[in-house]
Amino acid sequence: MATSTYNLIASTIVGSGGASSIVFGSGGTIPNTYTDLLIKLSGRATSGSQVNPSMTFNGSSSSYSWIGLYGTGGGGGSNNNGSTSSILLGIMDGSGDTASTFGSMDIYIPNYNSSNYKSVSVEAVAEANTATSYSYFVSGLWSNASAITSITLNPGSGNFAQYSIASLYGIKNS
Amino acid sequence: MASAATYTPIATQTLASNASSVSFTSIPQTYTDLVLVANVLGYYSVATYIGVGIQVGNGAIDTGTNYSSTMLSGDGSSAASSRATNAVSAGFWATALAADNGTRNTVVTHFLNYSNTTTYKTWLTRFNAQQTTNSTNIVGTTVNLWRNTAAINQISFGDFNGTNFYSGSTFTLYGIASA
Repeated sequence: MATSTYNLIASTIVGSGGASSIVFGSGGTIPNTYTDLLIKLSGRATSGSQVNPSMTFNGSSSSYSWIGLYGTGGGGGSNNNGSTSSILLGIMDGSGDTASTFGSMDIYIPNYNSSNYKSVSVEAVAEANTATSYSYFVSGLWSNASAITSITLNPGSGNFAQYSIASLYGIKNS
Repeated sequence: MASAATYTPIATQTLASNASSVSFTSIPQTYTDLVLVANVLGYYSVATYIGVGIQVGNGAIDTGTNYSSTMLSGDGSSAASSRATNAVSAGFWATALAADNGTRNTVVTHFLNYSNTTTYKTWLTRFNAQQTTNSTNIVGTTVNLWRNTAAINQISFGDFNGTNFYSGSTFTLYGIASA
């Protein structure tokens, strides 16, 4: 009988001082024993409203591109950046949004050990019971053949607020 | 007490050579939902995105006009929504290049309650079709319907326009059990 191969690798809970970033695999220590990676983030920034967090791999700040698709409750839109220093992670609540609201997102990274470019699929929401709240889909691409050994999440404005939680899961295909 | 495993790999395929479709057959009926994760690049003579799709069946892939879908998509400058009815597959978009430069894009599909024999089957697809700086990119999601009450035990992921996915494209089917 096959067994589950969806396992928690690491989880970070931001403390009272906040965190300027959340890093998985600091120093390149994400295990290479899985096929895909999945990050689940419940996050809030210490400044701004409806902020745009971002992600980088292996400490690199080049060769990223992304396309976004979003809805605000009043309409939809699409944006992109064809050459940038990080991948947009859609949307997250900030200190200017309703108190105690945290954005939620899934970040799926298939074949993170492969020698192909790395594709990322993001689904994110920031609902705050206000006139404008976002849901976001993002397609990200890191045009780099290196295996992903570390991941850095940046809040987009200020720091990650206390009680933000990010968890990294590994998924095996066999 | 340890929980039972509920996210289990059923089968995985990595293309050893270019192929126009990939099929999963004899899918066990012991799960509640299925998740298909694809990491693909299609071929086309110019860099673009191409129409691809999913077909399902019981005992054989249904190639009839029994599929419908609604798409929400964004091309980097505007959002759009479209529908297809009485279609021969549940379609979406995939990146295609004239030469394989290492780009692969993510497609994740969730098949809900796939093994029941009472209801028509639905699934949700999230697709990326992105090729670095090229302007012909698209991201989106689809909701899909197969008008058949049969349990799904076969799934085909294909470029039904007759072109190919590059070798090295990967397809993995997972089962999710609710109990």
